[in-house]
Amino acid sequence: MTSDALPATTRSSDVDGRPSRTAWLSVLWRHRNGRIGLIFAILVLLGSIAGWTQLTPYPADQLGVGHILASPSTAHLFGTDQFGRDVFSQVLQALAVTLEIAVLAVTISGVIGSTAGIVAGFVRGWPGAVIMRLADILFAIPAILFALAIVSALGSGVVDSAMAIGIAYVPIYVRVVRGPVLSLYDADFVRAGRVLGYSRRRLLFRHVLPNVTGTIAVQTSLTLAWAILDEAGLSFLGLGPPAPTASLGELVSNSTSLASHAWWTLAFPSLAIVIAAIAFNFLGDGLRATFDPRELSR
Amino acid sequence: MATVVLRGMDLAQRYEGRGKSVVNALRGVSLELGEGATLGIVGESGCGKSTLARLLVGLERPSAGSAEMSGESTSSLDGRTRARRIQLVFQDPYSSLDPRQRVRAALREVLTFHHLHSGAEDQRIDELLDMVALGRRFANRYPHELSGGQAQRVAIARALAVEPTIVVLDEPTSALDVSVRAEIINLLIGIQARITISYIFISHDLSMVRHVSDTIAVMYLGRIVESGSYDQVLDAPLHPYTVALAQAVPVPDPTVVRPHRVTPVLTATGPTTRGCDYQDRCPLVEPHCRDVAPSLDDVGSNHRVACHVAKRRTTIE
Repeated sequence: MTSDALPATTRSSDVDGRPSRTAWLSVLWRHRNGRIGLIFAILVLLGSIAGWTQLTPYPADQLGVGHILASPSTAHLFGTDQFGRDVFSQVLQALAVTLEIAVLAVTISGVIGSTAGIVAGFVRGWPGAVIMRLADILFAIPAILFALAIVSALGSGVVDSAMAIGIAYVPIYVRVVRGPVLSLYDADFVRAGRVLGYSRRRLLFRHVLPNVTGTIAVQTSLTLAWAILDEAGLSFLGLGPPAPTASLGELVSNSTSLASHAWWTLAFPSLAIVIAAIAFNFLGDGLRATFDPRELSR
Repeated sequence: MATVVLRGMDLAQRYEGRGKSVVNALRGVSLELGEGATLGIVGESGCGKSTLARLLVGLERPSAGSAEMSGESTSSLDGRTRARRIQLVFQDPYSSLDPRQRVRAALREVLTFHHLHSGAEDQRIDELLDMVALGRRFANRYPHELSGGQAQRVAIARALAVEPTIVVLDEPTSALDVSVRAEIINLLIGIQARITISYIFISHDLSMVRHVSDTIAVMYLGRIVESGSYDQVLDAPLHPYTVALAQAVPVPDPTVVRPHRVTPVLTATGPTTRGCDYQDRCPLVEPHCRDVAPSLDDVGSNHRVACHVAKRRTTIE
């Protein structure tokens, strides 16, 4: 043989020839952005769980838990607002709302978009063409405008916002997923599978899909970041879920007039949006590396 | 020749593009492959070699003509049965292996799908790896962890896993390092010495084909222009195209003079509609060649050629 120089790779893989279940985590950790994204994402997740379960330092909606417009202190990490509410507790609860909407939105766009993308890539002829033209039409409308239109039509609420944002991101999924499916369908190893007698179903589920899960995971993480930003945008414009449910965008919106007197009422909710968006953006970046089989055996 | 395992009759394939563009990739190719024999198919790129390979293994349906495997029409075989009879080895070994499947998983999938060696798959996988002279430790590797030659061995092992009668090798060495080519060729010859298997070896490189083939067919623009046994075609070529191909094999000697070279570019208009396809590049062209296309005829002991001049010369002799 010309080269036996390649080291036998046993690391992060078991004897059976499958990478171990945790191998991808170590790849993610070795990736700089992936590591930052992972840490931030865990923080965001913990924060929103705290908000969700109301395990916040103070009840988020309760007035007068501190002085009015108190600056950050050990008692009130992010200070208090004009009604004496604890901003930290508010941010945690709003984070939960924002994340709930974003996750719902991504689930909607991911399920619809990926399925449509796979169908468009695997089924030749008119069904694929129709799906792509529909996606093109949707794609031509800016996501936030589209979401605005839907919320105006449907009314506002957690599920409505999620639907609005989710549908707006369907075409991106369709495009991102269809591309690899198309090229995989023409790949030699899929042809080899056909020569071996494998059914279309087997080829789709055993050979094409495993090679696009990475793409879908990366897209999901990125879309999550965009959805968080869009949700903040919608809420900022007053189209978020109605009171008393407050999302991060609403916190920002409510505190713009206070910012000159109490910067913390604006800065911390904004920072939360930025961190949440960065978390999933970077995580997506890291996941991209994770799903490259080359990385798994390094 | 022993039992015929594959017979192609007037296979043709035309691709219709948008508008009026039509490509006749294959224009009536007939061939015969004996049990345990190797048929070499040579020709420059675009002559229809790979189209022929795809038709034979069932990746495409011929637009005309038919094929029989061991006496049964291929169109009557279902995918699974056909797969058990004929397999294909691709040019690029990396792209022909699923990047997310380790060697063992890829081989196991073939065995379980075809219900072969149930319960003893692992043993069979080891056997297959031995057959292609790959160490068992390679079973746990991903394709990208293999060298080109190793990956091609895996692809060969996968093709052999179904115990096919025929393996079509579509330029199996072209994507490999020159140093590895001989290893793969020797491996293929070695396998044929151990088990009964027929090869169709497709290449643009006569020097590769000559090592493996019993019979050789030379293709030009979708047709076979010359065929015969190894020594007939290579040592006593009749068709001017075969002559040119044989001379195109590089000789490491600057003083060697080449009497006739193939015009490097195909005429932009494609094949002339009337007469011989080779007329525009042929050094022996005669007025007759411009009018009548030569048929592929036997000029003695199964040496067939499609050239007016060559046929006349052999009959005069």
